Amino acid sequence: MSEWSNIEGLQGWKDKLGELLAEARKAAQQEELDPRIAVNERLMQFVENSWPNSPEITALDEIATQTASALLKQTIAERLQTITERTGQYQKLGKQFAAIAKESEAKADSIRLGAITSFIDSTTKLIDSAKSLQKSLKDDAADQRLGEKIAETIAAIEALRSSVGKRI
Amino acid sequence: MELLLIAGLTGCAPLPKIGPFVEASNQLRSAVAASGTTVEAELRLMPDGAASADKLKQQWEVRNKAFAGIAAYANSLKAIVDAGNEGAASAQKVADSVSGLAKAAGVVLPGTPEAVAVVTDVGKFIGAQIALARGAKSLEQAMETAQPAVEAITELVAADLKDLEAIFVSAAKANDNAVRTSPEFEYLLGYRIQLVKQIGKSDPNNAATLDRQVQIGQMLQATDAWLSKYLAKRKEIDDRLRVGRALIQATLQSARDWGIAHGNLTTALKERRPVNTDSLIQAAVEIQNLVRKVREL
Repeated sequence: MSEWSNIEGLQGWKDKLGELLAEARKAAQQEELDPRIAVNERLMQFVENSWPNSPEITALDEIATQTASALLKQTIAERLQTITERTGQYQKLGKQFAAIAKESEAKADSIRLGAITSFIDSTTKLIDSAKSLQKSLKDDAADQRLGEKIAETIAAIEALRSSVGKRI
Repeated sequence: MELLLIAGLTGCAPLPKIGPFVEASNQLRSAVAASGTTVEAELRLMPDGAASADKLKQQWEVRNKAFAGIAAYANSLKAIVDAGNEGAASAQKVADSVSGLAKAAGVVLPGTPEAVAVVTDVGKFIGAQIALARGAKSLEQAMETAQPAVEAITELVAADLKDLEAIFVSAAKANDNAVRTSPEFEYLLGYRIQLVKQIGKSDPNNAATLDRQVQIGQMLQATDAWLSKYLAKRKEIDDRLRVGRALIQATLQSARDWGIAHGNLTTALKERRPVNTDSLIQAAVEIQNLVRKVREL
């Protein structure tokens, strides 16, 4: 025998709805989800079981449907609000993780000796370019001076490389 | 000199296997995102649910961004471990660069080719030890710095996922209510319930009401096609609810496991003892399956 078996007549359905509305009010004052879902289910069963489909019963069904809907919408609004309240903390934590990640990537690069390798490789390219330039110089006095400066630069870079090498 | 000392003191233990943790971080990011979109989609199906769906989407994007930061963080830990494990290769790279520069500058490296090779091998060995020591130190520092943030975000996401589940259940129930009270089904459902009640009240041994009982049975049968349609619509919602809740629960569990794994890794690094994070792989596979199932619905 179900909750709905012995309800007869409009007054019987009215009384039953009154009981369910009181339950719904109680559930709405609690934070837990389960009591709200349980009342929702009973309100829907009320709509399905109430009979006949006279205008009076249909009006009771409408109240039951609206109450169930309001209860669910209230739950959604309340939970969305608490989610919104946490958003600022995520923004802060996201920034912290990004900063640690950036620092760790830099450390990884340092362990890979990436900066040193990159420095030496760039220097090698610079020396190659400088030598090409040196070869393209003419015999006049101005170019000779430039050639001497390039030779000095190459020697200085090699000295710098040597110092870097000692730091590895 | 200082680095050599570090290498000696640490005993140059191998760096921990960080791969499962990175994989779990990436899966957690994708599970958090999928949980959000699953609930957002359910809200969009709900009568008057678009505004709530928009609000959730906006809030969840911030979570997705934070978890993208977590994935980047996990990948940066892997970069440290890889760099630490590839110390010999790095030393070789530097040696190659130096030799390239020397050639370009026209400088002859001292020693015979054999002597240079030995020096390079020793350099590679020392480079490997130094890289391991620096890797262990950097990893420990990074994870120790991140630990409070990891604990905070694990708690936050656990609270969020509980709220998300409540929203999901409520939205799915609202969608189910819409089917149950739709003009297409509401009247017929009440009618069918009344027929079933009448059958329940009738006496199958009473010959006088037999014709009426048969008639009710036929009337009930006539509603079968409609009933199948009604049940199929409700099953669709129930399937979404079941798989979606499983995804949210798995995400919750995975966030907890991930937080614990981070704590264990940090402690293990401090205490210089090995740690096994392989169990995270199983959780990651489970999440992958659930995300796929949700997308298929």
